[in-house]
Amino acid sequence: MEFVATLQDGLRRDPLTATTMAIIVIICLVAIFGPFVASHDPLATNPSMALKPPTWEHPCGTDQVGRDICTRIVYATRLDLFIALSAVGLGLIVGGLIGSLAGFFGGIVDRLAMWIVDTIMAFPLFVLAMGIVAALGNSLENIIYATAIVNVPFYARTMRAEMKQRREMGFVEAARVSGNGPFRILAVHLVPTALPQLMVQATLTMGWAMLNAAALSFIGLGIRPPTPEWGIMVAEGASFIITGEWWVALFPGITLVLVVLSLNLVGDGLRDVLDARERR
Amino acid sequence: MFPLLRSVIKRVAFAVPTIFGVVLVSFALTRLLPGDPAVYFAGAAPTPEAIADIRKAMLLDRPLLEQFVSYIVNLLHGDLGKSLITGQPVVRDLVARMPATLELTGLSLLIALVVSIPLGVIGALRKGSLIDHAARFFSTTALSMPSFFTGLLLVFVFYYLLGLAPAPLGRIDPLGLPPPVKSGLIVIDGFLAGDYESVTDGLAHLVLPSIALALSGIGPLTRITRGAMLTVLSSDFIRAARSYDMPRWRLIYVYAFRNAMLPVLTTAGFVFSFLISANVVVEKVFSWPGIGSYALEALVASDYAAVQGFVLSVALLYVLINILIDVLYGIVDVRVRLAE
Repeated sequence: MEFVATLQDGLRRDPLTATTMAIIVIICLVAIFGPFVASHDPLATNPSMALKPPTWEHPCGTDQVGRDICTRIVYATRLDLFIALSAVGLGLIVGGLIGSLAGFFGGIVDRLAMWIVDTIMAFPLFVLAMGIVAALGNSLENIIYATAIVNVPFYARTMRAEMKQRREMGFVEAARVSGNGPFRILAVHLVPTALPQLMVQATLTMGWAMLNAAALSFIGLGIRPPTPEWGIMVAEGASFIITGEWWVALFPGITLVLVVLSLNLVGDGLRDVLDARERR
Repeated sequence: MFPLLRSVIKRVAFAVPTIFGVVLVSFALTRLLPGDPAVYFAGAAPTPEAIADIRKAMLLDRPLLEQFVSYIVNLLHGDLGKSLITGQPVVRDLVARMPATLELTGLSLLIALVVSIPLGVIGALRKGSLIDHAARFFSTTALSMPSFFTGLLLVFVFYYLLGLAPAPLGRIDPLGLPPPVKSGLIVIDGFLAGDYESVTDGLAHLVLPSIALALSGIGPLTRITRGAMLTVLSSDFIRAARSYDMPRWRLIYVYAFRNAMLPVLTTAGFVFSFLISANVVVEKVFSWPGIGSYALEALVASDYAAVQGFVLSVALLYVLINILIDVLYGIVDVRVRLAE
């Protein structure tokens, strides 16, 4: 509860973070309810309306087969958010587990865990994700797995640092002498104290996970056309950029940038709030 | 010279477990293929003989450990398999396309450093000012832009609207003659041959993709520079120098700046991995004939030897660059040198 109060206080002083949080809430609402209110069918083609610039009827214009781009962006929001959320969630569970075990037990467990983390980090991460999807096969799940794997190091490092810092503290000793086993101490007493830090890390990496997944589909991995997805839509619009049909790539691209930027600003804001609390 | 050699050996030794991990992952990626790896490596329309040959060559009928050992032995001989599209050894293809990628990545790293170091220093000197906030917002925005999208925006504005940039179709004008290959870098080869038309043409083609690429590195570099500058400016030796009435420019640009550059050096390594990643999509947007678009062509054609060869060699290159940076760090930072 104390954290929520600090958060409210921090947001009042930081209108930028509050605004970007509002944008994220709107995006979530669009992802949930958007398809119910969208005016067109995201897959309905209409050759007579191909590549028309924005009008009132089609606020973002139409693409090369006459589909309404605005509707497709709305439908894509759900998919892109789903990919980012599940990848970050999966990465959090695995990375958090690795990091907390490594930080709490130290020794050989720590060394093994850090070897895994360092090995992942030794790859340029998008390239590794590319290699994983290429090897596992071209599907939505594999995009999620690959994005989760390349995010694991960040969560594992955060969690490890937090556990290392806390494992010698008084309350851990108290829990130990009152007869708690190491796994119980870790799960009940230690991990919850590190959750705020982990959440900040999750927000900061969420935008990156989104860019990563969009870039994978931009190069033709994972999701296949005609499924609406921001990365694919930008890829489809890419060939029309040099002939001047800018709207096909611009609107899905701008949406992606806006969402990622909001996530990054919120992540920064949350980190500042948390840092301020720790300094106090 | 001797201690330098020792420190190089030490860094390389530190990197051995990581290199082993990288090779292990890359080995796993070539065996994880759903179904029969031999079928995948044989390509789109394999003959039964080709599959049998590949199975034999990959030792798929032998125990896993033996497969791994032979994989390493092949690597040590510089053998990453054969590409299906070009019919050449993957290593030869990668080497042939490497200069295009290095030219692009190198220039964009340079742009990123030239933009973000002053931004970070100004941000730290005028902390909380309008410039500081603007610089922070700019670097966060740069971090939030996917480079494939920035690339397209740049093409639209500077090629389609303003007509200033050449079409995004490779390194030189399709009708132009490239200078004789010496270094593989068109701009440098142009200078060597005295062919200044190639130099300007090569530069004109380089500008947009390298800006698109540089933007992905500016975010982290600006932040680290600002943070490092702030830390150094509040440290004891700066306070001491201030009390001696040292001129402000000398204090900032000689003493503080030099010390703040150490963390920036480390981040430059990390940024390189960012750039190599973004490189793949930027090369696609600009039809740049580097190793990134090679990997993408291979991906489309299910040419797995080429894809995994690309992943492994890029990872090894990155490890190498980190070793290099560690060694440089040791040369620049007296404390590290003395500690050894």
